Amino acid sequence: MTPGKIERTPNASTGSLMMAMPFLALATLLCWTLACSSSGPEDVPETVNFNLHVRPILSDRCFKCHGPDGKSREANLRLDTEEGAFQALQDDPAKHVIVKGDPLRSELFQRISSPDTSLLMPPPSSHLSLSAKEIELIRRWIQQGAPYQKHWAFIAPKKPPLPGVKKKNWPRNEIDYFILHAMEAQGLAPNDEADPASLLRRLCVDLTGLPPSPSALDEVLKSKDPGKWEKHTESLLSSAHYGERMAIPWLDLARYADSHGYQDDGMRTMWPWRDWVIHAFNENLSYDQFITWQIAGDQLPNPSREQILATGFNRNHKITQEGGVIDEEYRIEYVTDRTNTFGKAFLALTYECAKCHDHKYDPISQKEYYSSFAFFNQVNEKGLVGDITLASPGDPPVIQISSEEIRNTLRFINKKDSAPVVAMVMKDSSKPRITRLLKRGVYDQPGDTVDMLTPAAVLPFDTTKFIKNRLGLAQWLTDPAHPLTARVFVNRIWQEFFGRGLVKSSGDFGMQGDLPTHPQLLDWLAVDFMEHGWDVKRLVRQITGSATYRQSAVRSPKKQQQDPENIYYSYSQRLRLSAELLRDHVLASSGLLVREIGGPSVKPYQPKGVWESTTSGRGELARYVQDHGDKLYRRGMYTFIKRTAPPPSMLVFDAVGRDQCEVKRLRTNTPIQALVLMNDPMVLEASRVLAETLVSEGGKPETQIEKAFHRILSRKILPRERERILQYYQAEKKRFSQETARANAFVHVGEFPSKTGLDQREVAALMQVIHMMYNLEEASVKP
Amino acid sequence: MNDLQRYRLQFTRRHFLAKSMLGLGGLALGSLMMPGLFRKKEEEILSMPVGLPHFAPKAKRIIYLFQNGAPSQLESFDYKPLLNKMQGQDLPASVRMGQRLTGMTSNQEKFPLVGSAFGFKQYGQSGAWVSDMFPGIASIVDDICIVKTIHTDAINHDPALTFFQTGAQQGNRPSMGAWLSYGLGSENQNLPAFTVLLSRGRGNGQGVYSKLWTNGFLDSIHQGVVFSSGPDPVLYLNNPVGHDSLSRRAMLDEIAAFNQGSFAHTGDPEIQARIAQYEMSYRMQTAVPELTDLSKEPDHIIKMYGPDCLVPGSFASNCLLARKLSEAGVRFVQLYHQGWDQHGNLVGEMPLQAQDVDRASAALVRDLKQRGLLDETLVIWGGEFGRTNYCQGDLGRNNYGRDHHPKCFSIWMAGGGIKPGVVYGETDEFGYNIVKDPVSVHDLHATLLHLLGLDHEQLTFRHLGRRYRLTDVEGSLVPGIMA
Amino acid sequence: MNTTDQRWRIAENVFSSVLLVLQVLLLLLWPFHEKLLLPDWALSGGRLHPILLHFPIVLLSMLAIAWFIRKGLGDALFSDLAFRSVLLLASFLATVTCLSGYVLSHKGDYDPELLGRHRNLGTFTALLSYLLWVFYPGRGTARDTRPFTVLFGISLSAIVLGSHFGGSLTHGEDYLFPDAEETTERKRPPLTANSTVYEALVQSVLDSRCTGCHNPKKAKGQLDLSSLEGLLKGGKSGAPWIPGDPLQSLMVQRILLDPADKKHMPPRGKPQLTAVEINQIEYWVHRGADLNQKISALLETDSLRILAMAMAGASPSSIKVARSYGFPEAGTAAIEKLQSPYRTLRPLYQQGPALQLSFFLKGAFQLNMIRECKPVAAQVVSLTLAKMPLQDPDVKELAMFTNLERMDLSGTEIQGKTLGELKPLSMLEYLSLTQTRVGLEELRSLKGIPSLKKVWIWNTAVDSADWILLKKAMPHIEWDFGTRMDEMERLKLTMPQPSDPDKMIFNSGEMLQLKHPLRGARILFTTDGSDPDTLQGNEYKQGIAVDRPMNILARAVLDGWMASDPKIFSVYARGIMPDSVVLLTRPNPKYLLNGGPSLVDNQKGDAGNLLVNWLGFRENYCQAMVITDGKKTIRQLILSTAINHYAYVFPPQRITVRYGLEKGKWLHTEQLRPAQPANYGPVANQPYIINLKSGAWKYLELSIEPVQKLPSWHSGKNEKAWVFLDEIFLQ
Repeated sequence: MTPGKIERTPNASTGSLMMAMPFLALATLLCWTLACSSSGPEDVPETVNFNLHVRPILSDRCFKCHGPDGKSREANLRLDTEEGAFQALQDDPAKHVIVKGDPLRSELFQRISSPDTSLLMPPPSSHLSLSAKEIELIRRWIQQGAPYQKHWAFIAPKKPPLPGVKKKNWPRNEIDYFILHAMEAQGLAPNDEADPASLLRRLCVDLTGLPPSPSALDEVLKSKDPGKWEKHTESLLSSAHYGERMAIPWLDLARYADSHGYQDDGMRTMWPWRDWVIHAFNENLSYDQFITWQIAGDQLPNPSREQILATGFNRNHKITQEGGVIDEEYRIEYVTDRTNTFGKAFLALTYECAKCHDHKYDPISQKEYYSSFAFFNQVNEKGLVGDITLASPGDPPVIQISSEEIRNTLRFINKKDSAPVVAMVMKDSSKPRITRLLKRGVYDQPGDTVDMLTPAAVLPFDTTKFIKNRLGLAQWLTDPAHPLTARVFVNRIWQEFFGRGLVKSSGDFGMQGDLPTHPQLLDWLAVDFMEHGWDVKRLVRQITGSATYRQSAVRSPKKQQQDPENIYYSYSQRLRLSAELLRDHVLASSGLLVREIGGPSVKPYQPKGVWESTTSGRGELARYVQDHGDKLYRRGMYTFIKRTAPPPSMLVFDAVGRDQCEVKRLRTNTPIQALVLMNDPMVLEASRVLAETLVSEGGKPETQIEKAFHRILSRKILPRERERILQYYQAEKKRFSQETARANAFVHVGEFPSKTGLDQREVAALMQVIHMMYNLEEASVKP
Repeated sequence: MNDLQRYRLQFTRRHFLAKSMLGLGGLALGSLMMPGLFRKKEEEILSMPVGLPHFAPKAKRIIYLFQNGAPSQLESFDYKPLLNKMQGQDLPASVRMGQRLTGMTSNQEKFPLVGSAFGFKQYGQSGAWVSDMFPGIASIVDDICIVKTIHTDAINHDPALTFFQTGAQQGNRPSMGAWLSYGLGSENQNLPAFTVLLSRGRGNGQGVYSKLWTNGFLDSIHQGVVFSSGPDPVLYLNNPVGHDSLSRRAMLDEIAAFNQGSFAHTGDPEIQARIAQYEMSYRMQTAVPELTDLSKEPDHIIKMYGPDCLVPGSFASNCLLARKLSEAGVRFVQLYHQGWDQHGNLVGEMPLQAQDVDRASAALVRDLKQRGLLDETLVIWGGEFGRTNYCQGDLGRNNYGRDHHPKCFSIWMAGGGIKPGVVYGETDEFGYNIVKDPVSVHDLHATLLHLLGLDHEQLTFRHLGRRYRLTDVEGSLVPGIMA
Repeated sequence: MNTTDQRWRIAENVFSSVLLVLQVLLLLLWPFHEKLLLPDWALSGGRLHPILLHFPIVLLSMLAIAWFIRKGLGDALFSDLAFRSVLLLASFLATVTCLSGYVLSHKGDYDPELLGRHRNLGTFTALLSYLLWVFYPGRGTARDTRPFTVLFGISLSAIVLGSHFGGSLTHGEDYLFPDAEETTERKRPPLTANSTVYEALVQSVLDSRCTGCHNPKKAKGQLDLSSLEGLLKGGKSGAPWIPGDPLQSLMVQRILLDPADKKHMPPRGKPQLTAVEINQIEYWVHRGADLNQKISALLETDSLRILAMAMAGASPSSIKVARSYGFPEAGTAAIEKLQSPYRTLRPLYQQGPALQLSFFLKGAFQLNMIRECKPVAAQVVSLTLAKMPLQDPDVKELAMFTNLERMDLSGTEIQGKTLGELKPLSMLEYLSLTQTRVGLEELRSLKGIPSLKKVWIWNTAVDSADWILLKKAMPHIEWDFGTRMDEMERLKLTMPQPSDPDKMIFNSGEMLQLKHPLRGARILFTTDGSDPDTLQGNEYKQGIAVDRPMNILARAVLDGWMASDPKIFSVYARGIMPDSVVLLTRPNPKYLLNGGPSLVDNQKGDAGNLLVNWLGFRENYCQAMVITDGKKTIRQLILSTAINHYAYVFPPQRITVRYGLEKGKWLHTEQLRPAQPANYGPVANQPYIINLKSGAWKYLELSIEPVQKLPSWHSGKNEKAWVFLDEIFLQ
């Protein structure tokens, strides 16, 4: 070998190194890209926030066995409290659950990342598991010192300063600053303002639940007045229909119905209470008053009849009439219902979970549950007053409301006949009832006695400040320091307008609930709401006045891709009308709607046998006796709700059964819905009546079509749309001319007297066209 | 550039390619050994979109013949001669053990035992005892599995019924059918996955409630749809007069065209869903009537179910309809037959009830079997609780009534994955307590789900922060009744 | 170049290339080792780890030492040929060792913490060693050797540390041989009904949980649980159980102890017994710990048997692994593509390759919809074409579903001429051909499919004679000929039904329409109350005219069936429609309806439900004024009432009709005192006919008095009775 040759080897080796490195690099790179693709710690934030990132994981996967519930707590280890999280292990004092800054020495991390399934947490048997990202979050959180925070919802809201925004000229009011700020952070820009027609329809539907009148539409389209929207908003807010619109979600929440529920399901008359709710919203009764009256109107100093009527809220629950039930079992059931409703409606907490054991996720002990229970346990009532044969429209305590009283004071009650009407209300028995904790929630397993109190974690019940009765409870609830009441309500109102609350789980602000998408905004609105005397109409004005609300509903592909759920409100959400509003829209736009407010619930058209096939055969609701005349054309919210067989066309459109408190409806899309819109005589009758009206008004088919379109879709028809519909109209007219028998049959739907002397074929054809319009997706959404 | 350099360069290039191939080879090998690398991670697979069984199912569908009002086990499948011997004697307190009573008998100071007024015989290879009121069911005992030891928590109809259907006594949780629709999806895109058929017998009725077929917090697509034979099989299904499927088609085309337009304008994906739903509704209008028209059934089938099967709304016609729906791929067909609540006049009413259901129930099992459908269809027959072994009120000479009894009662099952010709569980000779192999309602649910390939602990839905299950936090499988 | 040199180069190239592959693999395993999935045979590769590891350790440390003291050593040692190739070898061995380590760690359960450290250091060393080789500067070159030295230093310490952790992990020799765990598992015969309960319930658990440590080789606590003998011998603490007394039994105690307890078995960190496993051992001891009892000896319903069978695989849990399919998955994309409303393609279950294919809506069916399924044909195990318009020529299209197990061709239009085409379906077990026109001859061609277990053939061209032949020809197949009902059985027909159940009141000219659902059933009826049998019954044709209150009896008859019971239709003729009816007294507010008009609204009430369509009177007696146009002659007034003794609803005490041409000027008065019941009677609708002097009367004043004192036999004796009215008629 010559040195020369040997000389080369190092270079050769550097050569091979030179070559080897890129592949190693490549390989490593590949590894990590793969790593990211399959388990993505890539989007783990730099600084981990406990409330935002960590608690949701701990709560969802750990609290069940290591949470507030002492009875089911494993290894005496709890992760919901700071103390618990840093303590030494019960069976290995050397080790600690969490060692600040040192994941590897923290048993918590060891266990969630262990490859040994016998050590792994959560145990495979639980069918729960943590994703790589979640593990990384926890690792990083521990590394950063594992700081604990109080649950966001239990910290009283403070009014935050308005955040800065780039697009200075966009915001119309405070709301917009928060929204735009978040949007810009996502690199999103708001949509332009919606076209006037859509905006008007949106306003009308949101504030009155009814489509705009053709005249109002023309006016808006003409008017150049910059303040026109404010004017419109005011006129809508002052319309009596505003109260109806606002009442609908409240009736769901208050589980209002016209029957007692349970098997024989006799009739009840709580509608005067319903009339009061509408009245209260129209009078813009401040929210703190509104709920105080409903919770404790009877306990206010010399209460008015109106305030007593308001307490019907807590008597809307189901009441059994099944002979042979155990009295106490059902009495407890009623009190439970009130307690759960209280928790869900006002605190947005899943109270019911603490009935049988301490709450698994939230700091509500079983004892605390029954302490709240105690407030509602004082009513002088029975579980079973009488079975169906002795059925009454209301079990005591009740108030009798006479016609005369209505003439004088309670004018808002729309009573039809002379006989006095009965409504159930709250009245505590003279001697207080001792409340005991019920073991496993079973009525005949009483435990220790409990005092009237509320969950301390939310806001301690300061007995120096609050009386120990429902009135005190109401005071506690409306105390400015209360972290939930205002937040929960503004969130629900927001939900009404935008389809989703700032806290998506509007019924659960607890550990397991969703986090607010815009925490600052939520707090700002809540505080502002309280600062301005819980003024509901004002809140509504703020929302409808915001640029956020007024955006157009157009989704660019970019937004659809970047913000499909519209979490950042970068466009307006098109929402399908609720069951009641769908009916209202059809009746109103066809001119059939009877705009009467309140009164006994009515029984419009309903398919044969819905009641008959389910009833036990007993009671006056055994058969559905349909109403006639005006009663056929009342708003959806007045349709009689028999709990065991609610109006099918409503259920199909996600109306709730009113069995229990509901604060949010599903919004689904099913084929049965299509069938209802296409075959429900109500829609067909409306089409017929509108067709008759337009035909009798005369004019060319084009104009008739134009008018119909205008009324139903609340916008001007486009030429090509007119063209297409006209062709359809001609085709249908041709068909009906050939089949006159069909035409006649078709136009004889519904009891509303038909106009005489019209060309049946024209009516039929136009009716067909209108019916088609009612079935358009656009017709059944809020734009 | 001198030769040496050129040589180096080439060498390098070849070498580079070669090496990179090797590098990738290594990766490939790695991926072979670690399939997870390019696959979904374990937990992702676990949380796969529901709509498929977790494992190979034994049954694909359920037909639940619910006997609403609670038929007496002591006059049907739980033969207790001792009660006849001790007729009129008081129920020993040692047996009752302070069991809570309904308001109807709680103030009764005597609890006179009463035996069945109807004879019992043994049938089939299994030698199961069946009362003379049920000759039809007796003739298929070797195809069915009688469970004598079901027990429930509720003692009143509404909660008991609700418990059976939704796994909870109160509140509106999704009902069994909704859970299945959610867990298994629909087999036939032209029909709902969960249908309900209602009928009323000639005995004391207790009513049913739409919350029994509610979708609860699940999507409304899982809501039970009430079917019936006869002119209007599904609410709102029929076209309005003056409409035929042609004009309906024309209308749908218009609607679709306009909806497409608004989609182009707004880009709201909901619109596409809406268009699809309208199409499906149209298909339902064609699919359903041909299903619910029973008149075309051959005579021997009509004889099999009995002549009532042509009377719309009768239990028999619902059985026949149930078979057709199931045949067409409906996941869960829920029948309710009212009238089994014999607090009094049991001797008078129960035979009428039995007459109405016995023949058709047996026919359904036979019919499914002869179509090869019984292997994949699970049939369940039973009420919401049992009835007391003592008489409610005064014991008459030749008539009596029985109160509600939650501690033990009998149901039977047949088909998909169920062990045929078995009598499972034992009650004491008073027919009051269970002595062997109790089956709770949750156990039953767990087992049903299992037979359909679903793990009852994995079939969950998160609502308001909690993972709900049909079996709540309980329920264990009953291997003894599974084939 | 000389040949040695060249040969060396080639060797180096090949070697280093292989090494590179392994290195990359290692790099990949490092982050993803949990994902490692290996076939069992590969696992034994892991057992090499303990042997292999010694080589790289020794080699590398030797080299290291050599390097550090290189000053005192000869050049030759540090030539490429020597040092560098050894380095290469060492690196290679290190890498292989590492990989085998991964395999090993994948299998056993080790202290995760230690394992982690060992893994990282090991891998680190291996990778480092490769760099060492690559970076090797040689000696006496101009190039700076310090980085190399440092690198070498690091790797050396890595080795020392890594092998230390490794040491504390290893459990000595039983890794070299397959350990007790497997042996015991392997030599056990599969559980069957003939296995003993002990084998099923106890041994199986011991095998999976205990024999890892308690086996002949390393009998921890001098206990060997791998064999019955060892078991009965017990350990240093004595016999494992006391029959019938689980809680006093050592084994159960140890299992039930708090996991924290040192005596708890299996020790912490080892896989624990599941609740079920504990429960079944306990229960077995409780039931007397019988070692020889056979499962089959127990009753079907015996819980012990049920538990045991569950273990023996007759259990639900065995369903999960029941049917595993050889063929690959079709892939979601392919499946999605084929979905349509008329064709459903669904996996049998999550992550299983098997598919079920069904077709719906005969109207939409096209042959192509089958052809399109070619891409997934191999995965389809169940196919439903029921009721589809499938023709004989189409059958050949089905041959592509080679893994088909169940096929439903019922109700299709095939005649079976081409059933032979199904020969390729070598897995087909169940075939339904009912309600088709297939006959004996066609079915014979099924001989070609030996896998067939059951064929459904009722309602086909096959008659019972053919059936017998078939059973003879192909006895291995179960031929389902359907359920044959007793031909002779005579069932009673259902009663005729009214076309409009709500219509009980008929205007003149209207007819009562009847129907019967059964094809060919005839309806016989009478209007005189006599039994409508074949003798005096008139045959129903288009309808029955109703011109007065009538009780129409009707029966259905049909050959082969028993005639139905007679059904009674109580119908009324509207007769003369009064201009108005005015109530002069107020009904009870609960039963008010719309007052007078509701007495002529053609809404009949049902005495069973008094809340609907009834006017009710109790406090005040009923007085009503009927006003007609005075043009038509009136002969009769008919009053339709309800009787419901339990609900205090009785016949009126007295009915009085005063009538004339002018209000107040009554020309005539008629009275009627209905018979009062002597005991509880049935609930019924009861009409009362009051004959009037015929005349074109304009005003009729009607007063009806409820019974004032209920009779003594009634539970509400001396109380007032009710009177309920729904309609009045003038004839």
